[in-house]
Amino acid sequence: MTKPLTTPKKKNPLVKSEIAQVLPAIRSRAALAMSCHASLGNFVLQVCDDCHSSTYPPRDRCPKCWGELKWKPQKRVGVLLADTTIRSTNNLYFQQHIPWRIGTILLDEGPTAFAHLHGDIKIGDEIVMNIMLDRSGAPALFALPRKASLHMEDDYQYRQFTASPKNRRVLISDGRNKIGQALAKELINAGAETIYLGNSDMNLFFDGKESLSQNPKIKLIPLNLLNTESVTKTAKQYGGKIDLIINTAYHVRPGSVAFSGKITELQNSLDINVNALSRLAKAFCPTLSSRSGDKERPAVAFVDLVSVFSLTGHPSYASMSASSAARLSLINSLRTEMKTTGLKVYSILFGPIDDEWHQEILPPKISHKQLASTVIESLKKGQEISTVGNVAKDILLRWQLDPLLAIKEMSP
Amino acid sequence: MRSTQKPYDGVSLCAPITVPYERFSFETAHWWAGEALKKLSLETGLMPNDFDGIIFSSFSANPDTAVGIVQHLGLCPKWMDHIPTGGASGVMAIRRAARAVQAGDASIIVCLAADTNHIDSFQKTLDNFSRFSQDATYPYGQGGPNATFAIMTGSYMRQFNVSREDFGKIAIAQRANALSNPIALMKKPLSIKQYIEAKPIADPLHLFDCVMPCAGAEAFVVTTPDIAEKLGLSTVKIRGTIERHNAFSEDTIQYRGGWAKDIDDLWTSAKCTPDKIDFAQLYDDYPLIVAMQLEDLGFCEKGKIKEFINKTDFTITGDLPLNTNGGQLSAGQAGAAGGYQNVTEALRQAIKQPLGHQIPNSSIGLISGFGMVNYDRGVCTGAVVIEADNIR
Repeated sequence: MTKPLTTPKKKNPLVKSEIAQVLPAIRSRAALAMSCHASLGNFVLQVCDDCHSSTYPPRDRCPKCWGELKWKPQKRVGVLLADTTIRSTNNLYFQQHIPWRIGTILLDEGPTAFAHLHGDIKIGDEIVMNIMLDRSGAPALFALPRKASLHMEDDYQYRQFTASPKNRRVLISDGRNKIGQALAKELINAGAETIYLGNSDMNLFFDGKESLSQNPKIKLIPLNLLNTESVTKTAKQYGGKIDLIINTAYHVRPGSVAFSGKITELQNSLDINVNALSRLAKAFCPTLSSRSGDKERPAVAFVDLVSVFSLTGHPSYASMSASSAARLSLINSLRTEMKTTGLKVYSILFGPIDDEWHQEILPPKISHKQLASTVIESLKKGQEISTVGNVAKDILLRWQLDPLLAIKEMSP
Repeated sequence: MRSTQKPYDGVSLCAPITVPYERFSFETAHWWAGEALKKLSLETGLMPNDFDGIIFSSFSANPDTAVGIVQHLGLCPKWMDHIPTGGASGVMAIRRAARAVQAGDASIIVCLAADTNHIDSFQKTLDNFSRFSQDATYPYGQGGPNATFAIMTGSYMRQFNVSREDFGKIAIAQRANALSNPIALMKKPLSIKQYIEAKPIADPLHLFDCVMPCAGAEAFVVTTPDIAEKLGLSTVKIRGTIERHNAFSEDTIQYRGGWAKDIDDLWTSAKCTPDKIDFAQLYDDYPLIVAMQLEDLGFCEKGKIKEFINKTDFTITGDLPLNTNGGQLSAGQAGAAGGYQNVTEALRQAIKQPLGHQIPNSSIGLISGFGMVNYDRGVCTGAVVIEADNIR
């Protein structure tokens, strides 16, 4: 049974941090396709169009009949046949993490596969297979126990593939808005050690400030996302003790392109939804990525919350959708940029929120708490891309099937 | 569609060459290949234009293949092959060169394997070994085949009730054999205590279960008996061969190799049985693989390996002399040359020119190859039964 994590020791400032190492990232194009499914938390294998047999490792044609292969969701169930604990390796990443245990899994669907193993699994046990993304964003099979145990998420190897908030020090970029506040509470419930809550104006009162201030784990810190100097200064002061950043900046005003929108709103929207992300990344990511190899307290992830309308646009929220599209593009570039640093980049695609700014939109809408819970779940599962609410889920599905059609289907 | 193997009449194997191995070398694979040809030339008097055929094997000659080697070393062959199958390459070289000589496509073929071992060579070979290993093995902690063989070894030990002590007996016997080989990299005797207590690598494998990568080169000549006689070279005959790739892909974890599929063909065409074998040079990257070959090539039944190991003396003067130069476990693994050293050592014992001690009776020998852990198992297997012919 996994032992619960203990509080990490305070870092000795004289000890040099371990350099961030990432796993070898060379992969075939087929394996890369597998990682796209993994980023959404799906378990897939290649299945032959002709003989319907499933295969692994990733191939380009079926080994049974040479038919074309398609990635399809498959049963996650398998059994551990054999294992080994690696105690010596030439690989720099694994040198930091040995002893490391892997094993051969016989999947119910037929193929066998090497997988990283959760510590609770023994030979002969039934397992649940997951495709995780390793620190360089490549797909990695990870076997979890069939029955979850109490502290399952605390498993050392599993934690290398997730960004579970437990014991982490988290920065929420905009703590004044309702999203940031809901997140702070959920993160504490999930075991986060400290929440640094960005506050654009320390002197200006905001709704919810009092209840936040009463919690000793929450610290309001000056962070004005519209001001490069402010972001840089805060990064210098706090960057060394932040393990996880969640960008909650969000600007939304109703308005179309031609009739009802204002150009100033587009400008504001770009500044908050796009430029703020850029400022945050420039100021914090270099510091965080240099600590991603730290054994006790690694920096793990940059999380961005972005409207699902970034994919398709929304005729009645044209400015917000446009800036969200730019924001999504930035985050995709950042994810690739961070591949060699070991810092993971998460996107949370959310649908319309049930608040005063989304009155024009019909339900279903999501609550701030729902959004916050999805962030926590994604971090716990190591899932790079998640949707919040039925609208976001629906739009992402349509967009995956046919992006042009998904755009056409958006109505005011 | 089964055909009977035609005999290898009119083919001679001769002139085994081993360039002494080095743990690390800053020279290139090309240099090592040239060194082997130089030694071969001094031994036989043959010069570049005398060879009308070449087979080349290497992991570290990138970006060159046999083509690059031919031009680099000034050969002008009318027949050429590149065999990239590591531990199975020597056996495959014999098969291909023999038929080319028999058919008259070439008359003097040099089979050549050379690999260097720079400080970072091993890592580079692993990084680029195969697509499956890049996608599905290498990122799983290993940095090498150790973890794959550890999983196979653990599974085999449970399945057939084999202990580490049993595997240790193979490693220790090979070390005893290596002690008389002046160019073996491991020069100290190995005790069962040292074997058991060695540094753990990947459970259940410890240090002395694993080969040591090194630089080296191996070569031999395949020609006709007449030419060999004119050159004054001792010769060895081929009695029978087998080869098989990607056998038993339905086995979830490898516990047998392709030999098991073709074993009857081997002994039928060789007109021989395992008990008539005077010595065996079996591919030995890990003791498990030696054990698998002993079963699959018919020395004992599958599952009876424990008893077989315990009742058999594998040293040079024992009842089944095994890997008489120490094998790769004690002499070192020089990349693809590791798939040729079993051939050269077998030829040397047969023509009574050993590196170390001579086996008392060395008329009929078995050479077996195993190569290429492309993903979760070795894919290529092959074996050759040889017989001493003319000793000059």
